[in-house]
This record gives sequence, structure tokens and C-alpha cells, in this order.
Amino acid sequence: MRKIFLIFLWVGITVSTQSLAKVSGLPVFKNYTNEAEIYLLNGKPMVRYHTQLAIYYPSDTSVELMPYYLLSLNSDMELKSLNVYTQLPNRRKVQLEPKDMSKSYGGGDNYFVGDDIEIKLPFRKLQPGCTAYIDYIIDCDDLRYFRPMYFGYFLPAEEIEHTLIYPEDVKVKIFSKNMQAANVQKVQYQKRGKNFIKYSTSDTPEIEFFEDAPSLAHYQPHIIPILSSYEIDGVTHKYLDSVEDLYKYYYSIVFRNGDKTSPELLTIAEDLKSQSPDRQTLLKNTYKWIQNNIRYIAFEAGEGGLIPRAPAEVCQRKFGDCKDMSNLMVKLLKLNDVDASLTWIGTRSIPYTYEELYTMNTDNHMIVAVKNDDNSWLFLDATDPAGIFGLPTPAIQGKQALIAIDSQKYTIATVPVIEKNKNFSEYKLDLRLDSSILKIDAVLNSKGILRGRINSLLRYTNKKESDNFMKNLIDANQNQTELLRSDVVDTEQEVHVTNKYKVGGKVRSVAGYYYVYPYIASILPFGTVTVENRTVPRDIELNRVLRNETSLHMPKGYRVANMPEGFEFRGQSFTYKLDYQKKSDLLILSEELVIDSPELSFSVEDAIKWNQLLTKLKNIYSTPVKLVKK
Amino acid sequence: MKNIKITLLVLLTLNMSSTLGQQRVNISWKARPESIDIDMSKWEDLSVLFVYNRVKSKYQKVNGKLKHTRYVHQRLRLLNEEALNSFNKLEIPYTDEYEVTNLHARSIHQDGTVTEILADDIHESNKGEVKVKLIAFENLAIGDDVEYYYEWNFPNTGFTAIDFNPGLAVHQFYFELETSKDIYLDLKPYNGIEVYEDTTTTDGTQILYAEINDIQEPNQEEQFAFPQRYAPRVEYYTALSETVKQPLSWDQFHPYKSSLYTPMYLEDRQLKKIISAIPSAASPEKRIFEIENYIKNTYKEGSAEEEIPGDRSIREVIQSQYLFPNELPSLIAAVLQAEGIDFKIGFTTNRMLKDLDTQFVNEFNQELLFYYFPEYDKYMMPLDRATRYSYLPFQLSENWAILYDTDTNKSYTTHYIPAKDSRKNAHNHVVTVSILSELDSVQISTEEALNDDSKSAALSALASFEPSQVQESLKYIVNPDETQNVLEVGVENADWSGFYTEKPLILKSKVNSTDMLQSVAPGEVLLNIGSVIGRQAELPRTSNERQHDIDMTAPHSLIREITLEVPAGYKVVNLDDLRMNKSLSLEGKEQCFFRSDYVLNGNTVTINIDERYLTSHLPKESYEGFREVINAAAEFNKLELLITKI
Repeated sequence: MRKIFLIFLWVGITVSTQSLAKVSGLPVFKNYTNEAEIYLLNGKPMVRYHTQLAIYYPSDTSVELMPYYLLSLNSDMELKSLNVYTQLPNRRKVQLEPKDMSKSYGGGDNYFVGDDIEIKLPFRKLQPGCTAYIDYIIDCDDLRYFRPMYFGYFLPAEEIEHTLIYPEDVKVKIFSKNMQAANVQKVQYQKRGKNFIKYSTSDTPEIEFFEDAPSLAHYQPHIIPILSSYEIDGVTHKYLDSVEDLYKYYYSIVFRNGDKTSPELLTIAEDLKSQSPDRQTLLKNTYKWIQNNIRYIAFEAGEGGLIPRAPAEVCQRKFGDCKDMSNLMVKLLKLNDVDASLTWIGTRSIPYTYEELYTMNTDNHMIVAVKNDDNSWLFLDATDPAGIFGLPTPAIQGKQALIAIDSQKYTIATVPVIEKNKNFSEYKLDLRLDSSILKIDAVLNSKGILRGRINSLLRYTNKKESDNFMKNLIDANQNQTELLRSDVVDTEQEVHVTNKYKVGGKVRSVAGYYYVYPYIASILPFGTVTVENRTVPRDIELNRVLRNETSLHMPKGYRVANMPEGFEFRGQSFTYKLDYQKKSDLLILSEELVIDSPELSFSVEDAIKWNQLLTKLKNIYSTPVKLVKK
Repeated sequence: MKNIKITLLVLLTLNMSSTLGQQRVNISWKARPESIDIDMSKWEDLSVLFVYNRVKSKYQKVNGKLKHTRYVHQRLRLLNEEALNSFNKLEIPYTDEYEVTNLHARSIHQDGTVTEILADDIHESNKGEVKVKLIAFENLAIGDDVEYYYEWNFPNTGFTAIDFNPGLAVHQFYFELETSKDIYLDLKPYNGIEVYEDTTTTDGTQILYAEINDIQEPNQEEQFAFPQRYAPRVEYYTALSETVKQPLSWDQFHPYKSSLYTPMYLEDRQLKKIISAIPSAASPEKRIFEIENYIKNTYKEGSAEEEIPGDRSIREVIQSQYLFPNELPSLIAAVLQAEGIDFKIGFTTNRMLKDLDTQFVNEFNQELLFYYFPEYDKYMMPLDRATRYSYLPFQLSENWAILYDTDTNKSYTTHYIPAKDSRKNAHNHVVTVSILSELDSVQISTEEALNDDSKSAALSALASFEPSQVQESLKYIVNPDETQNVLEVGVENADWSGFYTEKPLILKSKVNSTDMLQSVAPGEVLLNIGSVIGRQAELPRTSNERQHDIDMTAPHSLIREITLEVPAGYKVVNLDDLRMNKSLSLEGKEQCFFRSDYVLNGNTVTINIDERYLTSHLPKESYEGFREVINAAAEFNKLELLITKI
């Protein structure tokens, strides 16, 4: 069963796949052959995947890089057969025995208990010149999630072939993505009462992997079959012929665990009501109550992967996953007469809309939607401890949401991309020289999701870690940075961080001159973007406006020897400004960085410009300001 | 109950406030949680506190076999959101052999109420080859406790060590050992822990116990520290009494008597084949190197994914051209013996983790294998494919070792592996820095001489590379940040024989750098002359008391001579900044120092730096003086000279 289990990490979403890109001597798919055959068994549609891989190992490097293959199975898949062997350079076959295949359940770090299976297949006696063969058959009785068929992998492939087979009494549509750029041949034919659609391509290079890029599905060519309907004894059964079919299926199972009200739920709902003078406050308080009281633990085994637990159970246990939290939030709001809706959504790693792909491939997450007075939708995602009421989390901005109205009705709305000014940060630094030490008073004000990040970081750290975080707000050698005082005031609207530091290493006192490096806080949210061989955008996660203002006090009797010059630099999706001003005994440096992209990404052209800006700033940041006696 | 204190060995005392272990603790799951009163003001700023960590190991004879059951009872207080998110789940690994039973768990709330975990909510799963039991604690809030208990059936391993070092702050750490009358027990505590015996038992059962209270959270940021070395621990040996005929002796653990290092006996024909392939050597000592070098280079390491047959014959080894780790030392030993070369088989512990106690027999402490050649007083690491005779890794130095003769009839001897000589364990630089006439870049010629530990680290990498890879690797070594333009790079004595020779590994480079120079005004530049010594470790001033003594890998020295050529018409304004002198002496004896000075001769400045660490160990009270020496090097690294027009 396809899981809905998304967890948010407040440090942002990262991809941990190890990059194989540009590694010479990679293993090679001699063949990547996959057949998906839809058939009817006891009146129920099934799919059998038959996959055959031949992986050639040309070098020692290739052997070191991929000594085993990981076979992943969703919990609703049944492995019918598996045959793995290595063909040695002398043509001898060395079989992998079942005892040497180790199984793992779960699904990595995202959920605690799961029943997805990962089987590790270590190829025996692997050495340069070997070919490893894997041949497996999987049966699956739920076609609402169909395994995507890709035409390119992290290994180069000599032949890729995907074949869809289905009987004449079954109707199938093919959803395709990014196929226009792919050199894929399609052959369609009928044989013994079955339809065959064969897609093939050859000599595909390995996919260049960029950790900061959107997911592969955004740019790699692939197809996903959709089972529209099937016929039994002349009667047509709809399966997934429209969004409505998907919705009706979701709705039919979503309350399967019940919706009973417990005394505890009533008490909490009453408390929330009594603390909330108006509807908006009630919404905010309910959202925050879930955020603060329900911890993320995901039990995704069996139906737990798809069906929310009963609200009373989640409330009693004080933990759950996105579905559980959403279901509880809807219940609490409904107890207070607020019409809230369970809402299915795919995070930004999934590039599909419901209208184009009305299968479970399109979502992986659940949130809550509530109608605003102006008829727009308010989206509430309590899974993210850094989430800000009223601002959708970065992972779902710009994504379609499937909102439940009742058993028959639903609506699709798009989660807005948050406007740049709502994610605002201003950092003011006051610098005074004390011999070769800089004394710094720093005030950081952050709003929006940037505020949430700081709030969350401090919430999840002890004093030592929060002191380290504060020290890291200064771009200086940590061993030479002393945090003298730190105060944090967090209001609903913004977080104010006031810090005092003593910092060494930023002033050189030589022969009666001072050389000061006043660029104490970096305004740049990320570094250089890898642009070599890049065709895919760079994800920027959120739009924002950042301002730094640094005031350097002149020591008595000193002046700036040469006033540096400011500049402005523009990309398509960002603007950077640097300005210097003299004001009585102050040198004031002002920096502003605005990042604004409707797609929340930098194009490759923008990434190149971004790198140019960084090169320019590197020179500026490493040039000291010289102070001389008046 | 009368308690007597048994063996007490104080090697070094850890920073712990009390050892109150006078009373036994009943380790069992109770219907109601224990009432525990802790002064939490002692534990400010913590994320999580082990309220207690209680472990009991019980050994008894069952059906003629020794059965070991471990009882684990733990309770943690979750003091912030981070702790709540980290410790609200519990995973207990087990296997068919290491079965977990009687698992109980609950959340204990601050108002005294509890939320029990029901049997149905204990989940089971697989993680690779390991099974796990999974629990999510319910209804938790900050300040609540999680408590759990389980029993673990262990196959008996003979030797066991209990480390009182859980990596978290602990209010009470209690360990108990129970053996029935038919069990042999030999036990020794280390690093200040006291073990008591319950003498009230009447049926021959022996019960020993130890407790430590108020263990501070380890300071992970402490540098130059080997905290594990000083952690209190108990080591013990258990067996059925009937199987122990005599007191334990290291002789019983001669490697040739165990399955690990079964000696290989070569037939004449095989022996001749191997020996004839080994290059001849100019001296008997060089022959030792050649034997090891030939075997390590010729026989590849058996893949971990390969099946390991029981005892492969030497014929199979020669045919396969690979050796499993346990076969490598055996083959080397067989050839050494065949050539009549006298050597001993030695074992010791990794000094960074614990010192070897030769007085207490523990097979598990036969951790690091080496061969010792008494005639030359030198060592070989037969298991380590990245080193060769006569390099001795620092982990083995300054520690006792057990030496076995190749003749299993001879008794073991003890042997002390001395400290390294700081003068010989040297990494030295001769550098010439020339400022180019445009004042926009410098040319740096460097000759590095690496000896002993630093030579070994470089050799291990370089000697295994193909020649084509060496140049690229050298470029990376001299220019890791890719900020310089590498003009020339070269290396001498970088093949495997570099381990044998006393000659240093020489790394030569010539680079152009613009990063070292910073133009600050017309005709005025800052030259970061200190950067030629490379980035240096830097120690912070600690606001808290240092927890551990200062430990370095080995005594060593770094001697640098830097020649700076200043262009005609320019001068260095702040030459005296080059004069630095920091040293640490204890009881009138210098322990470490950093000294730099210069001589100006025309437009040439010659800078000499002598940085030396004469000992690998210093008491924690000398941290401030040590920090000054370490930081002097870091200060020098940042040093900038102002060069202006005359």
C-alpha cells in the first residue's frame, strides 16, 4: 500500500542519495527489461511486474561502487520469484542463495514501524568483467499506485524496455512525463487477446545527480499507466477514470478507524474554544495545540500507511503521522463547529497534478484545509514543528490539494507560493574596536518561515547547542568568538534575537593602522551551485527578503582610508545590493538580497549568475577596510 | 546485609562526584514506578538524564550449559523537546540467539500517573539481519520519564566488559553480577570503580555489585582527549567451574591455539614457490620487509561478500591469489618461520581506548596484533595492508603487550612498547616564499620531510596508488582548497619501501598563490605568511572545568624554516610579530613548546619555527598552558606581514 507518511525536518528537505554522477567506470545496465501485466483474478484487477536486469561491471571501481542491489517492495507487493546470479568473466554462473539475501522492513528514517521491504542482494564473486543478473516477479493487487517506468537511471543503460500488457476487457490510459525529449520507441500490438505496448530506448547515459535539484520525476522521462476500468461478464467496473474515482476511494477508507469523540477530546476542544475569542484564533490555537502536543511517530505497517487513526487514540497517545495529526485537527475543529477538511497533497518532490494523474502516485501527504471568510483556503500542516499558522510549509507551496467536502464532493485548490516579503529577515550589527577585538551588538529580526526556523531550532536544542547556534550567526572562527549575552523574544509575528559578542581575528592592528573585516554575517542562504553539465534547476525552497546592516564605529582619531564602492547585481530570480555610507563616526554597510521565483527554483542561467555574485562577494568579503589616523 | 569491598584498582579517577555503592538494588519490573527524588538543579541545561541505568548479568548452569541472562532496567527523564523527540521511541535489537523476553515499558508523568505500554503495542520488525522490538511511549510531555525493562538471553562469551560510560548524564548507574556456585568467576574493576560483594547468600551464589552516581554528560567537544580510556569499567570472565582446570593464563590464549590465527604449514614445494618469488634483500632485516611486502602486494584481500571456507589449504590460497584477513598474518608468519627469522606474536589494546592490564587475563584485550622482532627491536602489523615493517602505529605505543613465541610450548612474556621519540616523529618544512614584483602573487617552494606517523599516513595513501594517480593526489595534498596554481609537485621515497627506510618521505611543490596577498592600499599589501604552515588546530578557552587529561597520539615535532624574499624597494613593517615563544613546563621539565624567530639579511627574512610535543600525555590541570602552545601555532598560521614601499 502506498504510504502517506511525510515527515518534515525543520532543517529543510534533503536528498541523501549518494551521487554517482560523473564517476568513471560505473556499472552498466546491459538490459533493463520490465513487463507490467494487468490481469483479472477472481474479479479483481492485479498487476504482475516481471523485471530482468543485467548489470555489467567493467572495472574495479564499478565493483566497489555497487557490490549489491537493493530491491524495494511496497507492502502490498508479493514477491513471487527472485533469481540472482553473477556470471564470471569465464562464463561460470555463481548463484546467490536466499540465505545471503537480507531483508529490512520499514522505510528508512521516515517511519518507525513499516512493512515495506528492502532486500539486499549482494552479488557473489563480483569482479571486473562480471555481469550480475537479477530476475524477479512481483504481484500486486492494488493498481491505484503504479510503479513508474523510467527511461534513464543513475547507471548508464544500453537497452531499456518497458512493456505494458493488459487484456482486451481492460481499459488503460498512459500518463507520460518529460517524454518529449526522450528518444523512446513505442510499439503497440495485440496477441492472443492481449494488448501490448512496448517502449524502448537505448544507450542512455547515467543521470547526473544534483543534490539541490527537484526530484527526478520533475525532469526524467517516464510513464505511469492508469487502469481506467475493467469488464467482467459484460459489466464495466470503473477503477480510476477520473479524479472523482480516486477521491471516492480515499473517502471510502479514510474514516475506517472511526471518529468517536472521547471525554479527553471534548475537554481539549472546550479549552481551545474558551481560549479563542474568534474563529481565526480558534484555528490558530488548534493548529498550535497539535504542533505542540502531538509528536511525529509514524506507524505505517498495513493500513496504518494509508488510513488515519481515530482522533481519540491519537490524542491519548500524543503521537502520530501526518494523517493522524490531520484527522485529530479536523475532529477538534469540528467539535468547535468549524468546517475543516481532510486534504490529500503531494509534496514538491512529486510533479503531477490530480487532473493529469489521478492515482496514488500524485500524493504522499495529508493536511487540513479550512475555508477563509473570503472563500480562499487556509492550509494547515501541523506535522512541521517550524510551521507558521497561515503560511503553508515550503514542501507544499504551489502544489495542488485534494480537499474532502463530503462523501461525494471534493474540490481541488492550489496551495499558494508565499510572497517574498512574508519571509523577511533583518540583521543589524554594531561593531566597535577594542584593540584587535571586535565588540558586536547584533539584533536579528525574522518573520514568516524564517522565524519558524529559528523558533524550531531553539526549541529542539539545549543551552550549549543554542549558544553554538548563536555563535554561528556570526561568520567568524568559533574558537575566537565569545557569546557574552543572548536574548530571544518570540512573538507570534516575529522572533527578535539580541546577542553580544567579542570576536577575534577580524581586526589586524599593524604599524598604527587598523585593517578591519566588517563582513560579520553572511547574507547568503546557500553557496555555489554546481552548474557544470547541469540542465535542471536549483531548488530554493522559499522566497525571501534578507537585509543586513553593519555599523562600524571609528576608533577615536581614525577615519576610513579608502571608501569602498557599493554595487547591485541582478539575476532573473534574485537581486543583491551592497551599499556603503559614512555617517559621522560610522561606516555603514547595507546588504539586501531578494529571492523571488514563482517556481521556487533558480534556472541554470540564474544559478550561473548566482555563482558570479558569490565570486564577486568572496573578493569583497576578504578585503579589509583600512582605518588610518586622521 | 554485610558488604565487603573486593578488588579495587585505581588507575585514574574520573570526574564523578560520588561512589555510594553500598546497597544492592532490586532489578525487576514493578507494578508501580519507583518514587525517585532527584535534585534537578544539578542537571541544568541537560536534554536527557538517565534517572537510572541498572544492568544485571546472571550466570547459571542449565542443562549442563552456562546460561547468561541480562536484566536491563532503565529510566530516562526527557527535559526538552529534542529529548522528547529522540527518546519517545525505543528499539531493542535481538536475534534468535539473543532473545529478548519480559519486555515492559511505560511513560511516567510528572503528576505521578503512568501510561503503560500494552503488549499489543510492542511491535516487531527486521532491520537487515537484526530483528527489533519497537515501542513508542505514549502521552509524553517535557519533564516526563520513560521507563523500560527487559531480559536478554545471551550466549556466554566468556569474557565481558561493562563500561560505565553510556554517553549521557546518569543519576544512578548500577551493575550486578550473579553467579551460581558451579560458575567460575574472575573479575577486575578499573578506573576508580568499587565492587562490593553480598555475603548474605547461603547457597554458594556469588553476588557482586557496583554503582556510580552522578556521572556527568561527556563533553564531546573536548579535543586532545581519549575519554574512553578513563571510563570506569568492570572486566570479568565466567565459565562452568568444571571446565576451568587451572587459573587463567595468557598462555591459554596463544593465538595458534585459537581458530583466528591458525598457523599455516607449508609443504616444501609450495614454500619454494612463494620464497622464490620474493625479491632478494640486501640484509637479513630487509628480508623481513620484502617477505611482508611481497605477500601483501601479491595476495588481494578476500571480499567480505565471499564465502569463507573453514581452513583453506595453502594450495587454495596460492591459486585464488587472495587472502582473508585471518589468513594474512598466518602466511606471513609461515614464511618468516620457514626462513628462520626470529619473531614474537604480540597483542595489545588500543591505548586511545584502554591500557592493557597484563595482570588480568582477558582474551578480548588481545585486540591489536603485531609481530615483534627482538633482534632489531622493531615491529610489523601483519593485518594492516596499508603499512609495512618497521612502522609502529601510535595506537600501540606507550602500552604493555603480551608476546607469544611461535613455539606454543613456550610461555608468554610481557613487553612494554615505549613512547615515540618526538625528534624522530617529525614533520618538517623548508619553505621559500618569493613575492612577485607586481605585488599581486607569491611563489612558494616547499620541501616537506615526513617521518614516522606522518610518513605512514602519506605512504599508506601514495604507495597504493597507480603512478598516474599519484600526481593528482599530490596536487590535491598541496592545494586542497584549489586556491593555488600548482606549478610543480614531486615526491621521493613514496613506495612501500619507505616504511622500511629511515629516510623521510619528501614532498616537494612549487605553487603560485594570490590568496596569500591582500592589497590594502596602493603599494601596500598584507602577506599571510603564516598560511605556509597550513591550517592549525585551535583550542577554545573552556568556561567549564576540563573533564579529561590531555592525550595526544604520540610525541612529535614540527620544525619549519621559512625564507621570505621581499622585492627590492619594499620593507616588512611588523617583523617582530614573527617572534613567538610559548611553552609548558611541569616540575621544571619542558613538555611542549612553540618558538618562532627571524633573521633579516638584506631583503631576505629567514624565519625558524620549532614546535615540539615531548610527551603524549599531560594532566588536565595543565590545559591552559597546553592551549597556549597549540594556539600559538594557530596564531602563527593567521599571521600577516604588512609590506610597504620604502
